Amino acid sequence: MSERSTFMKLREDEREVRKSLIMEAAMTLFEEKLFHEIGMRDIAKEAGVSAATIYRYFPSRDDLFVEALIQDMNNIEKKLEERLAEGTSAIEDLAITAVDYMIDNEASFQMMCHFMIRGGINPRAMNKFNAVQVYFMNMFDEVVKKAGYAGDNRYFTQAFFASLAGVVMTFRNYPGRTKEERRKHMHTLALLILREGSELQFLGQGQ
Amino acid sequence: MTDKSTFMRMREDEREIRKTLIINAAMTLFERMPFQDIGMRDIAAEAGVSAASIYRYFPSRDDLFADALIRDIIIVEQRFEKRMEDQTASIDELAVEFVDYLFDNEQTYQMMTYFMTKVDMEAHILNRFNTVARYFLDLLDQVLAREGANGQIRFYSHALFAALAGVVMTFRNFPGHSKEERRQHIHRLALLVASVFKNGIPHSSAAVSAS
Repeated sequence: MSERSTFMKLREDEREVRKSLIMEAAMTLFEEKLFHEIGMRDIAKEAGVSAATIYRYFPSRDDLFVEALIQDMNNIEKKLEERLAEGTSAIEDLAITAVDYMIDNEASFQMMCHFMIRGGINPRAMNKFNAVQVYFMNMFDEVVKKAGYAGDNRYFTQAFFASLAGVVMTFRNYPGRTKEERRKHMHTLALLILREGSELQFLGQGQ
Repeated sequence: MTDKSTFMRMREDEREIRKTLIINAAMTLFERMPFQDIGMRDIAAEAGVSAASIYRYFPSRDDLFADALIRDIIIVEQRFEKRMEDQTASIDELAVEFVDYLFDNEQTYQMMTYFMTKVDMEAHILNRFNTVARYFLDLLDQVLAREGANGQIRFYSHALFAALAGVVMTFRNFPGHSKEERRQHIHRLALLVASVFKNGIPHSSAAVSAS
């Protein structure tokens, strides 16, 4: 490797490290603030850099969060792969793992809601989010297949994922119950959808 | 009717009319501003009233939007009821009607997702939602029961509602597709979800032996 390219690579690495530090700072803020209250200034302050610097790495707040979401997706993928490696082939376990991830990770949940349901996001960040969604759907489809469930019906996987997301979005913040009661309710609903859904799938194949 | 009660009634009606005007103003603002940017001052200006008088009708912004959303939910409920009078109304039809309503009504959709994912809701607002939600779920229970469901139907109603809402939330703004393509995709997934509930629900032994 020439000296020049080594230097370039170091610069590249440094840039990635800085980006990661900034994203980590943003994730820390979720512990004390709601998503819409977190501004670029707050993130800069938490990361110990100037507001001007932060824009050198992320052109907008949405760009920053969509990249954080990509990291997040890798975490979910790892979790699901781990479950598979452990020999868990029950689709129920995968559903519970996905639901629990959305319940337990405040930052992921809020970012997901933001990009999925709020309008007015700049097209560049939205395109990235689109890629994230497509990637996620494919990954989820693969995991379902690896678990031994015939996944040739992509609509089934999409409806399955959307239903799980809907269960979490509807009941995650439902007031008047304890966190554990809500979790139990979401598990019940996720399993219920799944059981009915997979029965239908297999009945269909058996005929 | 005594004079006094007539007077009281007129005052009540007037209050309702004013509230409706304010809500309509807020809905108009929706067409040109994102939900989170709409403040009480903007709404007052649009409605042509003072910021102080708006608070006489709605103690907070959340109260105002909760009222608006509840009015929308009642419209959907009335449509459902009408369809249910027609004995042939199926889960399929109601599922499509439900996702279409959320797909076509930007304001309803935004308000619903806002309140759904809100971290802490005030008790009095929550109670109002609970009342309409209970009624809505009762309607779903009835449809599911008509399709032969038994046992803990309420769980199925919760799951059906959440799954349909999830389909809309996941694909409503999915980029790279035309509006009609997205609608078709949502219909397809909603029908898939509905068919799961229709065919997968444990039927009572009577219903099974009858078929």
